[in-house]
Amino acid sequence: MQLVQSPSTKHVQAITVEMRSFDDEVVQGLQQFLIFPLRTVLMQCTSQSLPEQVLIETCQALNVLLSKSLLHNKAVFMDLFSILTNLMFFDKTNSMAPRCLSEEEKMAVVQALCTLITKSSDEVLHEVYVPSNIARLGSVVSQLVAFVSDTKTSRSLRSQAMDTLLVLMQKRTYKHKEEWWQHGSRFAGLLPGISTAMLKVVIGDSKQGHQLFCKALDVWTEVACLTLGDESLSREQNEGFAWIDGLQMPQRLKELITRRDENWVKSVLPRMEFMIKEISKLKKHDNWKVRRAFVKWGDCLLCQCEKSLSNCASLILEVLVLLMTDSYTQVAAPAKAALEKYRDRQSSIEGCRPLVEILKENLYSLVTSLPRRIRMEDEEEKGAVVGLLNGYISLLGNNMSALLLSLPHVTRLAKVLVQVLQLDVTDQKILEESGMGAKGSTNLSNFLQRVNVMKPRKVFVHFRDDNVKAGLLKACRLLGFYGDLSILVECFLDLYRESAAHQLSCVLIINEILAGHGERKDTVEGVFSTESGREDVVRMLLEEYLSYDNMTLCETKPQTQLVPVSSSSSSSSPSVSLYLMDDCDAEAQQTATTRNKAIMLTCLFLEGVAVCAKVTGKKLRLMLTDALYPVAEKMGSEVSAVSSTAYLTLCHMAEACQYSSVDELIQSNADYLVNSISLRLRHFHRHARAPSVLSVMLQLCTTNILSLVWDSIVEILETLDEHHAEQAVVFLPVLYQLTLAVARWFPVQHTPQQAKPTSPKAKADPAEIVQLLVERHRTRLQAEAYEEEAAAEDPHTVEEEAAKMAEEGELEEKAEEKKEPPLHVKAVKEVLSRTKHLVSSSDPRLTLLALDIIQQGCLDLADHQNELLPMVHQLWQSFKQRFQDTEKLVVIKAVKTLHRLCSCCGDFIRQRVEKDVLPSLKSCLEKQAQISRQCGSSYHYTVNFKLQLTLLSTLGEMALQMGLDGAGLEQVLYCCLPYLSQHQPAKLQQACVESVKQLMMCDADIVWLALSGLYMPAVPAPPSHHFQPVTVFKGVGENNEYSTSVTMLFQHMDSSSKPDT
Amino acid sequence: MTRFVGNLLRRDEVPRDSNSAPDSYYAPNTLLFISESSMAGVVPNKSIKTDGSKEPLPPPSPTYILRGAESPVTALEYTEPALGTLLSGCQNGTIHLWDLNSRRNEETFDAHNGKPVLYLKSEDASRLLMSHGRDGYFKFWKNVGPEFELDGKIEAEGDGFCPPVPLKQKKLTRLIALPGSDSVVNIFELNSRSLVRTLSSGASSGELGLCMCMCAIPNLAGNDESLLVGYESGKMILWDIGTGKIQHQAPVHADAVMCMAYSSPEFNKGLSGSVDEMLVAWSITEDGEIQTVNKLESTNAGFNDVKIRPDDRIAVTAGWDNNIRVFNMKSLRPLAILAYHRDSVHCVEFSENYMLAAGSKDHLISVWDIYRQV
Repeated sequence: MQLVQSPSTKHVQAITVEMRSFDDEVVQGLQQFLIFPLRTVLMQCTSQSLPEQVLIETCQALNVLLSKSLLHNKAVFMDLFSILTNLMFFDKTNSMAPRCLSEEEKMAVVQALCTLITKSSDEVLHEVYVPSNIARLGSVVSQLVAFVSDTKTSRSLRSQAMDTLLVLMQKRTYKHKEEWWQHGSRFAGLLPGISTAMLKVVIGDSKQGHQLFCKALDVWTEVACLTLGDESLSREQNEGFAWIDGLQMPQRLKELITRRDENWVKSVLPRMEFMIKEISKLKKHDNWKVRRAFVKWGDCLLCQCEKSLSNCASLILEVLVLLMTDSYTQVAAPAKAALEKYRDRQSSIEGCRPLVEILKENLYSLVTSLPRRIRMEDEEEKGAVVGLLNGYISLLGNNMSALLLSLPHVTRLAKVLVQVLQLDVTDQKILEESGMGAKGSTNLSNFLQRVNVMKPRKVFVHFRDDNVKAGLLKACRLLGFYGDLSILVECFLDLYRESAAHQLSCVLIINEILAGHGERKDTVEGVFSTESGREDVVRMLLEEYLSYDNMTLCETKPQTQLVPVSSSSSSSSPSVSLYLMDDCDAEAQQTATTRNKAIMLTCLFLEGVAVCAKVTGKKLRLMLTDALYPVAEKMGSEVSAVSSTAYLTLCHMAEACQYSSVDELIQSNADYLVNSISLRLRHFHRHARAPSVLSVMLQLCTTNILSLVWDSIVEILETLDEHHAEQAVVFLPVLYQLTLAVARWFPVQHTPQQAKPTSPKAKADPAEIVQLLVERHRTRLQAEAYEEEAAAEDPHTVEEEAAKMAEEGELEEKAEEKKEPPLHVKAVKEVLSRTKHLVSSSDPRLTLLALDIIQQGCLDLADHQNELLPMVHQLWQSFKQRFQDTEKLVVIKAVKTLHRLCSCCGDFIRQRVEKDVLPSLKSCLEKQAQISRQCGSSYHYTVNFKLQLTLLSTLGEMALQMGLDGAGLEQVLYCCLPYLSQHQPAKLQQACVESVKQLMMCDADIVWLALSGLYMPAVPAPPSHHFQPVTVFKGVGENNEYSTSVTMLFQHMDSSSKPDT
Repeated sequence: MTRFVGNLLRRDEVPRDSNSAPDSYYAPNTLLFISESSMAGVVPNKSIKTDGSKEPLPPPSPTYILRGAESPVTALEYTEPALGTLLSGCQNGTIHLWDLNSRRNEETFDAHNGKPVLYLKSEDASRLLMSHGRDGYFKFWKNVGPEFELDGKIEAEGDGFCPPVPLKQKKLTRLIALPGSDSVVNIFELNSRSLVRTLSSGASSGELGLCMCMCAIPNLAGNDESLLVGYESGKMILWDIGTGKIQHQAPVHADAVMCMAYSSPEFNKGLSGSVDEMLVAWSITEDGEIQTVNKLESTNAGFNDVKIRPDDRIAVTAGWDNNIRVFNMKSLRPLAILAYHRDSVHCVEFSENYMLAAGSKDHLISVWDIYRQV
């Protein structure tokens, strides 16, 4: 009671606290009692000025009170209602008011009002809507609207005001009442005011926060539904306005109730349509909650105002469709549900325009405007447009295929997509990146290390945003998913053939369509397309994609590829710069752009093949006959974009065919590859890359392939015979691979021949020595006889040589008749007999390759001495020339090859080496010894140094393997000696020491003698006093440049002879 | 007589006679390639550029190659196109089954004890297979699941090179002419597998020599087919099967008749090849006589096989020179030379959809897609 007399904050707060502690029931019981003081305070507020805080606290107390109880008394309600509403009107504009209410006060009042309305029973609340109260209602609403539209007021107040508006519009109650539809009329007059205010909020500053935005949208929706709802409108128009006329109230008040006849609707609609348009512009709001509110907005409007706002249906649908593709499921799901609901309802109502039709129409107009919008609008807008497109297509679903049956639709759609997805190929990068490609040989195993596998980046002319791209591609996939594959593909292929400008985008789109179609097999099978239909399309596409012309688009002319590299280049793969130079040549005919385009197109083709693979799955195996080779060939492309795309495609193909890896794919289908290769070898000038594919196959496959590739190898050999100069570069790597493969398939059992160590001989039984000597002499004689015979041929003229060889050939044939050598031996022999011409080629690169082949080939044949030795004999003539070659690299390689020959043929070549090779090597070593003496460290990087090192490190072993002795051994030894000097580079010294150690194993005595000539640590003590001390050596014990090495060697000699004693 | 030259013939230059095939028969603007490159030394690529702008078409290539036979291919047989299978017989007596879709060898079995297979014939959707080899047996095979099972055999007396020929008579529809010893030909009935007639000239065997090749000559009027046999002496004899009498004989070739083929009786033209360069075209007159129509001279000697396509438009020969030659049947002029094999071509065969298969001594079978546009 105190409160009534002296309203103060304290008291009110006390009551509030008290009330909070009570049960709901208790509060309900005390309601009347409690309301009274609060009301009194509020009354006082209206008439006199009380402290601000009191009003707020009172309102809060009222809030608490009402929230804990229900109001049943009409009189009390109306009383409170009018007090509160009166309070609301205290404003600057209202002169009757004792003062202006502050923000907080307004807030409190509005909140109280809101609670009051919510917590009043229906009957009580009905009082507000009694026609006689219409004026008050109107003024309350307009005041609330004023709060809302005043942007200066606080956010919470505006929000609260909108809440109150919502409550006032009585969502809660009117449904139960007979006259609920009459509400519409009551609010109809307020529609413009409310809706405009809300619109202002909605299109207002984006900083105002999404909550406000959502609420405003809600209010807008509510008022629109209330006044323009189909049911309420029709009820009203059916039953007429009798209820208004029948009301007992002054005419003035009656006029406040709007008669919602057709004229009224007509007058309101344009405004509403305008507002819908305005609102729908904001559909791409950043906040997903706002977008969700949009869904609700669209849903309600579509549901309740379908007829009245039918003109806006497509617009609203557009919003919903767009939102359906939203990235947030919270938005997309209800949007979809709403659309589905709409569709269901549409189908149940007769005479309504079916959703499908609207959608089709929308889609059509969208498609029409798409190019313009994609070209002109900003990125974000583009994304939305594309999202919309996707929405339409996915919503149309299976109806899409029907739509696509109409030719104009398809062609328009196709043209638009093609235009929109125009690829930008002006970027220099495509070409720049191409330098790193796997040039020439396609070595799968290290392909991944060499080439950074990546897909070429697709850049589009009309947009940059990845979302737009993803959206457009998704549209294509959706088309493929729903539409008829063959019609679509046919249509795009037509465009593709129509103009070169559209090729890129056409292929891209077809790929996506196909991919989209592939997704279908997991879900529903289309009505129009059967499995076989798909297969036909895939076959057709593969044929188109992999046609010769398409696959050679980005090839530079084979001739330019075969330009011999500069002679200094030691690597077999030319550098990037060389490639670029090639390209400069071609620049005359094709600019970078056209070349870029070609690369891109090739990549797209390859990607298309990958898609085909994905779509067909295991059935692709049957198509591999034609599809495998072109892709494999492209993997060897020098354009990295192409080669890596090809690799990825192969991966996809392997996966589709259910092979575990690309290797297995190639292995299992080697026969197809061989077929393609052998046919292409026939037209070598058109298919310069076929050999490299063959070499990849050789690398990957196992023995059984040999019989398959046999005829291809013969073909290569024959082509090689015909076009020696030009094509050897291409073919030799293949042959080399063949020799390597043979080595892998048929591992050599042979261990390098080693002459028996001679050192133990001295300690052996004299009889044995004699026998050994005799035997040795005999074999020597035999060998010499043979070698003399061979040597005798040397001076012969070339023709005689040839005749001799032919004779030998015949002999061989006879031998073969008795026992045909295995196929692989035959192959290696054929290869080796070709290399004999190539070894003497003027191009050092060829020579090097040929030497490689000889090296490997001899190893392959090591188990077949009967084949090997005649072959070595044949090769020797041209081979021995290599040691005089001006190109030191060739000499190095020749030495290495000789080393291999020694290990395989042993003493067979001893005589020849002594005669043909050693002199030149000796002079070379001696000459170089002068140069390398006291040289700087930079000498280590010269070719000469490498040559010396190779020679010194191999000579010993070679001598050992050949069983060199006597003069030959001495020759070798003496050319090594200068390198024992400490003035020589350490590496050379070391190599030389090792070699000399091996020479010791040939004949220790000679070595000892030679070494002693260089440096004698001490005069050797005679074994017995009967012998005179040897006095041949000068400077015994004097240290010189050789002493270190020689001492070391002597020590080694002693230690190695000890175990025998 | 026509002399082959290394040359390109354009479509409009293709020799044709006045009642030649309709235009669509030849692919428009197709360059028909003829070369003797392998022997005459004419490099194909040096040929005339026709339009200046356009690169000349490369010489024709086989569509694909079937690899995997381990011996020279001596006989070929297409099954029905729907099955997509090709049968091939080898020098070493094995028969291979090729799936033409996957282009792989499906099955291999030894049919003739290591002796060359001369003849293959599949019947009843390839459930039944007949083969003849130089082991002197004509064998029947049944397709049991994936494998073939021997289902009886007929012993032919001879072990020559002559493949048998199926014959049709009014009463006995399934006859087969099997070469006997020397120049004798035995006619067997396939259902009962019994000998029904022996064709022997009665002359000493030296006179005619071995029976080298045969072909059935259908009669326009009746159903009774005659049998034309080519002998080692170069003589060709037309036998009346019903009576077992000689209808007509003519010394068509100077040396052994290696191969022969006859078109439909309406078209009435046959081709035969020998060991020399000559290919002889002949026809059977109304009186049942062999009449030489034309002689074609090829650059290289020796023909192993000749086949006339069922539509009588083209004929192909398998040459010792490793080449397959294609002839226009109307004009009897050469259309193309198909060079692929590295060794003598042994046999050629057309499928029902006019794909051409050729088996060679180099163990390969090449399949060609040529002149199929009808």
